[in-house]
Amino acid sequence: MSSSDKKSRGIVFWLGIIFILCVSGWLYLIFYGDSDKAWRALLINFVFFTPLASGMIVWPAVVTASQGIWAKPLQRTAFAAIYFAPVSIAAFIALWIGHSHWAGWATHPNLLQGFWLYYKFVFLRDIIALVLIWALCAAYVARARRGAPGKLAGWLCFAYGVVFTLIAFDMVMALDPHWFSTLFGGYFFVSGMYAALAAWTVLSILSGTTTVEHRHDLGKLTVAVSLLTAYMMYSQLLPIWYENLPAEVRFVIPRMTISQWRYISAVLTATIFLGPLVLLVTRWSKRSPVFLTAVSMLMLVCLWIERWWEVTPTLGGKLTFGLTEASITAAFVAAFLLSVIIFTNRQKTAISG
Amino acid sequence: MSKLTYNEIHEDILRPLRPAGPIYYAIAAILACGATWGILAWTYQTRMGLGVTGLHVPICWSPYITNFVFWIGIGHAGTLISAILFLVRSRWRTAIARSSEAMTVFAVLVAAMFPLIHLGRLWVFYYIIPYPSQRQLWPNFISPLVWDVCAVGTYMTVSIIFWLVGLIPDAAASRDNIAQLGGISSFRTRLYRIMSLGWTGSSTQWHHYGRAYLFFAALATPLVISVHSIVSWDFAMANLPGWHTTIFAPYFVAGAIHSGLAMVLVLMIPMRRLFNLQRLVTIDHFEAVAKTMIVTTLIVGYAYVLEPFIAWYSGDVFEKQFAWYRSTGWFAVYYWSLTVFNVIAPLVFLFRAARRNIKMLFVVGILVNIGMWLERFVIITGSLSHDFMPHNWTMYIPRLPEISITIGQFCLFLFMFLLFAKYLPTVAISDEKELSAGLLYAPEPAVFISKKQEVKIGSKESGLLAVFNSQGPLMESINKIRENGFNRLEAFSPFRLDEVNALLHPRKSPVRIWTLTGAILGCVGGFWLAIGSAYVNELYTGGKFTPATYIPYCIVGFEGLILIGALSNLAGMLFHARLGQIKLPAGYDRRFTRDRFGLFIACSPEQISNAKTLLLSFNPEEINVIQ
Repeated sequence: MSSSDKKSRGIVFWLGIIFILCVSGWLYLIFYGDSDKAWRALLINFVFFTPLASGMIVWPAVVTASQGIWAKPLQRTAFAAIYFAPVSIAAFIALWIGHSHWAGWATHPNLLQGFWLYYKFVFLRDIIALVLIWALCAAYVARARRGAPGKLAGWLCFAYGVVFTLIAFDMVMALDPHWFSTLFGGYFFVSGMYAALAAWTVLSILSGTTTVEHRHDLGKLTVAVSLLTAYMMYSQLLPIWYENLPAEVRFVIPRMTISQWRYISAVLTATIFLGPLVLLVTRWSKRSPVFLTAVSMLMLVCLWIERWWEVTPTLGGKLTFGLTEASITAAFVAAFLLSVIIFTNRQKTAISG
Repeated sequence: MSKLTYNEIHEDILRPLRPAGPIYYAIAAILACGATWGILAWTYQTRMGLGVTGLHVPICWSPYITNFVFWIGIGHAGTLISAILFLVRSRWRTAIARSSEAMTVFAVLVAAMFPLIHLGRLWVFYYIIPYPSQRQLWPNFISPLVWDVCAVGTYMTVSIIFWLVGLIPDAAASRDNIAQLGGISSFRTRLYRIMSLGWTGSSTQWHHYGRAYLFFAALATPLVISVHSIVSWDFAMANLPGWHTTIFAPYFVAGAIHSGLAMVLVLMIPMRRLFNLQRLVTIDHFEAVAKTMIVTTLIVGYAYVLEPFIAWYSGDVFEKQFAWYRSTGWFAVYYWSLTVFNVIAPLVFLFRAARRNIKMLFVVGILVNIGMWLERFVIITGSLSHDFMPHNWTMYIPRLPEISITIGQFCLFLFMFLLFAKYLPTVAISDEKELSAGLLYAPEPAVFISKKQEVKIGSKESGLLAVFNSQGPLMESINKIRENGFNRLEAFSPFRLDEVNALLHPRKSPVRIWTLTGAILGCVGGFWLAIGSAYVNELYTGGKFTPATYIPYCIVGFEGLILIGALSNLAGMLFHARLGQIKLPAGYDRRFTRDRFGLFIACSPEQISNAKTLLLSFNPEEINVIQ
């Protein structure tokens, strides 16, 4: 066994330990702490990591569908996210089990949406959608590794948009059943792709598979996707702000005016929406591995905060980050890294075999 | 990708500029008659008042605003193809980019007429221009209509500049071509001379031009998205069923690109045949357009599904009844037609055979254009005819003036496009040659040395001018000649040679500083104008003290950023590339815009012999001594 294999196994071991400890800690808080907060933290991480991980597989599909070839050397790093599928589905099943702690609509008797928000229907359709997107991701990975993705690339991109629109409506927008925004699904899946791109960039650079040109392309793509995400947010905000209708501003007011969440809104504007435009404006910044990694890491952290900011004020949560959030977030990070490392190791073994 | 020689590309693209045949004149005459009929109808409406149309309260916005939105949308595909696909280095854009840009410019010009037509009393058009407060007129930068003026004005300006800048090298090629055929004093030669701004194809010009073009593309991309978003907010900001929805901005943008791509098919398919451009505009290009349309179809379909769904999900009784009315009431036939035309029909492009069938492409292009026009009609007229109060519910039946103006606008648009196709290159010559670069690498060994008197190539220095028949020897010779101590070089080429630019101009073009400075000043100026006006006027709108907010003023700031950034970019390019001189340098060689490459070596008479020896090893076609 080579020294790199030993090192890799060591990392896997310690990540496994972190994962088990963090999940145990979270379970302890479920039973003996603030269980609502713990379930909320699970929801936040589910809606952050699932679009991120599946989006990492969708990015090479986007490049393939648009007849690009630049991303081929980086594909394998992106495909590693496929091993995150069981974690994502398990987290969703856990959310189903604990729905009474976080999904107010599940126990609400007289909702306008009637059968649409009947909890069994919600979870059933969402788990079908989730299995569908992961199955398509797996099929795409298998085909792309054989070098023949075919039309599946286009269908995967479309399915990603549809599935995460549904997840956004059911898991986030429905937290307040009286609030609605037609664009929320679009914003959700675009910001999921943004997180996926940031993760792909970081992992590609750390795995040493990028060239200067790759980093330049990834940097430009980051700027473009950040602006697209900002556009989607602004396109929602402006009509809501303008009309000032009670049914619509109930999402905006807690986040922009009356609570401490408004500071988070300002931070998000400065980082995920406008940050890359300023930070990655020069050629050097896009080409430097250290700087690009740092910017992408910053975006990842802020995009996690953005999901926190989407969920918590609606559920009446306060702006506090404690052990509850830290434990389950660390568990998700460990699980994600474990998926990536195990996939990469298996690939190496297959190639050497 | 074209596999033609530079000369064949040159000939194929410039051949349509020669005198037209009877078919061309017949089509042009029919279109001119249609446009004239529309103008007469507009004149009649202006004289008699808007009462002669079918417009009435509450349907005050119907065909004219439908046409406005439709034409603004048509323009989007041009910018998509020329700017967005340029940024993502998509090669298929080259053959259709120039025509698409022209389509954008004409579509925006036609669109810009409609606010005036809709105004009725068009002599008070200046009321809609945001100028400083006076005469009891208080420009309110929180109004979507003022955003519209800013956005459409910026879009029109930037689109025209972008198109004309893209045309500079091609206008130079046309100038040199027509000068040989029709003489240097002919009308066309003069026109192209003005449009080419003294372009010589020198590496200095290509260096600054390339950078400026990139910045134009970078500025045009967010601009095009902003424009149709702002147009959509004309509706989304109003509290009216069917209008006030957050998805309108991206939905309108996707629909605009959808209709624009369809219009590209409708225009390019006949044009390709009429002007014998089959070797350059191939079925592969149309297939790429069709594939892009699948994406826009899916986005449009996504919005079509979500709109009624959220109307139902919201539980809002007005939204629900309107969604039901739109799909089952008076507008049902239009609603379902547009759904079929915009979403179902383009799905045939999922099949390769359909994407490569010219008739199918043309028919689907027509259907999508009809569908997109109907979509805007249903959105605008439908909501107005069926608002909150049942006693307001009404119908709209168009009358002859608006029917005539609507037909006239299509004729005017097609007429302008026909003129463009006859008077300007419809395919980007330099870009096509750049795509074909590398196919020619067979220098002919025939060398002769001539002497030209009173020759100045961009400077007053003496030296040698070598002419090559391909770019390979040019690039190789530059390194060798510099190694031997000749550092004052200038290259000439019919298209951009990045390698040559990198060798001769290692420093980045300062155009970027101009652009950045202009963009920052424009953004600050936009905010200053909007916030300053709000403070001066002390406007409270919608219960909000508007000076205190930044949300709506982002639009004015953004449009200022793009407009001033683009103008600064243009100024920087003109200044550094020394463009704007109508008179060409005396020793300018017309072949450099066709298929030949030049290298000028500035040297003293004593060094000429040494430089000549060095050049001969690269087999130039000619070496001219410049004194």
